Amino acid sequence: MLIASLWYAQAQWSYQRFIQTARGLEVQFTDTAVEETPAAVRVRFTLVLTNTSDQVIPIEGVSCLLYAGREFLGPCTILSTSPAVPARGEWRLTVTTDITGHYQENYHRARTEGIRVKGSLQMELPLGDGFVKVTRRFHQVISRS
Amino acid sequence: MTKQDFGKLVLATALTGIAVGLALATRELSRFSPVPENFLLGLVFLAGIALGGLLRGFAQLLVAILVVMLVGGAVMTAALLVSELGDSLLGLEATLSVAVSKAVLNGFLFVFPLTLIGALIGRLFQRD
Repeated sequence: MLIASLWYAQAQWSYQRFIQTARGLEVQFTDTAVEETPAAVRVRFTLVLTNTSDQVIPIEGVSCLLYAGREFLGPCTILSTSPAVPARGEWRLTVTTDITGHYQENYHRARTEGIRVKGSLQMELPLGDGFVKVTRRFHQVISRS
Repeated sequence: MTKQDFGKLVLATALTGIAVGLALATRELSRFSPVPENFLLGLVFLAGIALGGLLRGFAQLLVAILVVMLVGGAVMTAALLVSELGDSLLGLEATLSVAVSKAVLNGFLFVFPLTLIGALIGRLFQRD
């Protein structure tokens, strides 16, 4: 039991240190806007990931979905992403999505004050000599302009 | 069996359960573990051998293994939930339902067969 406790304590210590690195990554939303036209509803935002660690963090992908209340408004349109967050630097991704068709009808039916963005960032965090894949979830409500 | 022997047996079974639970919880955090997965499964097997060396009747052995599975499952669930503290925004964490299902699955996949085989081998070392 002592050996098992020792191994568990070591694994837990290593895991918590890893979590501290992950906590050093801050996700923020800037330049947010919702613009309504007869043809479409345009949602814009910039996702900013700040890396306070001394290591480059590779980004594997970003995905997000849009909602108005309980109504689904479709996936975000993500054109291209930079492959990594520089050490002690920022990573920016500008997302512009046009909501059209039945998703636009859903938006008007919901009559909410804003659009909810719910998504995740897939990245690789350094651990020893290698990397571990993790997912950082985010959500934000973008109010009408 | 005297009262003292029974007490020792309960203590040994409980400690075995705790060891098994912690070993399997460490296995779930294998990327962060100081030892390879096989070592952790080997520890479960050794716990089975130790248990088999203590018990004489086969029925007693099965009851002890069941207790080890239950204690190990509870310890593993608690140990996995400790990992959840502070990482709620990451995709690594174990929620209660995930922790419980992992503990149950590990109980059937590893604890039962490994401790049973270990215990049967352990019985060979018993002194009559």
